[in-house]
Amino acid sequence: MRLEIERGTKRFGETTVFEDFSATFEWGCVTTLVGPSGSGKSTLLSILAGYQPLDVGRISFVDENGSRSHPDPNLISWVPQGANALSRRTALDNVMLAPLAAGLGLSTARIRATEALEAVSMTHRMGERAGLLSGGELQRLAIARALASGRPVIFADEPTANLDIENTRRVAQAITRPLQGQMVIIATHDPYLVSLAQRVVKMRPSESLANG
Amino acid sequence: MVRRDGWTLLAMARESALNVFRTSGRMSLIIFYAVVAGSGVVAYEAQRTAVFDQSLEAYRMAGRNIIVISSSDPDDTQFEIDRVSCEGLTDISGVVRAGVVLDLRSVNTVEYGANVPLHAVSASLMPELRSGQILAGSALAGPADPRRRISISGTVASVIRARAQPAGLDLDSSLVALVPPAVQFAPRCVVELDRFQNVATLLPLLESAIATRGRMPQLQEVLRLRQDPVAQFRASPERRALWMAGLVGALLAVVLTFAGSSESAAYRLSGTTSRSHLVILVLGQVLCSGVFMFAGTVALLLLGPRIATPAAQLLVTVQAGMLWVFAYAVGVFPLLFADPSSLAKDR
Repeated sequence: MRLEIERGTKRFGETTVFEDFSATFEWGCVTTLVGPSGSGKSTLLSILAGYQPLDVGRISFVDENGSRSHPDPNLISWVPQGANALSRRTALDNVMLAPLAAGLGLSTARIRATEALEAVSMTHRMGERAGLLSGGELQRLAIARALASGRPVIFADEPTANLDIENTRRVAQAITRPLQGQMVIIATHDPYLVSLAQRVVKMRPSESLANG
Repeated sequence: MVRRDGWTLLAMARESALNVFRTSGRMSLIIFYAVVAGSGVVAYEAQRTAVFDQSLEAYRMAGRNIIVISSSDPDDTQFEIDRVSCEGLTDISGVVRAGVVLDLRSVNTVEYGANVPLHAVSASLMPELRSGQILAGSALAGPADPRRRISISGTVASVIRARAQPAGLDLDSSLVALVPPAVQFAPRCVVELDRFQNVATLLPLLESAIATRGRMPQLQEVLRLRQDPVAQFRASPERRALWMAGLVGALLAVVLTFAGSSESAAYRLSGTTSRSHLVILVLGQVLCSGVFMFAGTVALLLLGPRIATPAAQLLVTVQAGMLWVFAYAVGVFPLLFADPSSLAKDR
């Protein structure tokens, strides 16, 4: 299974964010989306997630038989840049949001969240209020939330921005660790993160090309 | 593509409760406001009612809502009011008391001096007379000991002190006895209406219910105010203070919700649909407005006796709480249309 964008164009008013852009993202693979600021990486992620429409072009999931389906926000978990968390609630409460939203019961959601926090080496902080976590820990918390959602596609938007080297390494390892059939797409400028990815897709302002 | 999630109502209610009660900071501010506004506005209303009560009592003593029914011609000696019809006015809703007043002669007593006016009044107008005692007007100098008996024209009776009477019932410097059963007619009938009663709406009913001999009766309010103080009180903007408090609570909560769009992003990017997110937010405000209504109700229970219309006030408190939730839901409605990835950036 793969996610394809074919000759996609996105404009905001008079401004063209990207034009005639095509790329393929493979299942079970970590892909980084790279390009200078303003090249439309975050916008593309948002479109691939189904949050925004393309102006021109087509996006589709293609299965093993070649049949296509539209992007589905229900399949995607998003890791934002920075500290999107319920700051007054515990780390565990924050991660539990994803499995609860998936319809799991309270105790199952707690188990799933604990496992996800373990996957990002955060179990020792699970009882801490999110507002007291460092920037790196919050980023790992967001990754744990994405893992706990059980959704097959994870999008991450600049997950290591504004982090020091040590935290960048931890976050990068957490999000690029071997996944069980999940597709991970990361918009980033970070060379370390790019080095850990299996594929790289490059974007340029108004003129983008895919590079496998 | 229609988004869906698996949030159950129970899980959303739990989430709302945790957001409201197990946090500090922003939500504490709302809860604090709910307690202060809920109880504070009710306490203010009690204070306002107390002041209003005092002014109504002062107006009552000056003759507001006191109706004197008498002849339209002071020289008409044939005019008389049927006693039964006068006392029967008490059956009309809005009438507090009514009865005939007869001016008798002046009497000389050891206790109260010479030439003290003596009146005979219906017990339906002054219920204290049912005890068979004579009433000494509140302004009358002299003893008012029930064990003490005085003699008036050979009749011996004990005396008790009467409460001060409003203008129109000018008996404070008189001795007052019960109208003898044999008296069927009197020249004057005095009616006191409930202090919240609008006089103009009741006058035609009183006029039709009174039976007279001679000319048509004249019904005169002793003190007629240019503006009805009760209508003014009911129309005053302060009456809407609780609704305003509810709206302010909603506004405060909306502002804080938008200020915390990062938290909204945490929900939306965790797979929560905008609809479920809205339910979680609104349920949170149901709890906040519940605190508001609870604080208002507790204040009402404590201050109820000092409030003019506690039941109406309770209703307004509940309405204000519902207004809070409704206004909040309308205020945060645009969040339904926000792109979750944009919310994540609006920190």
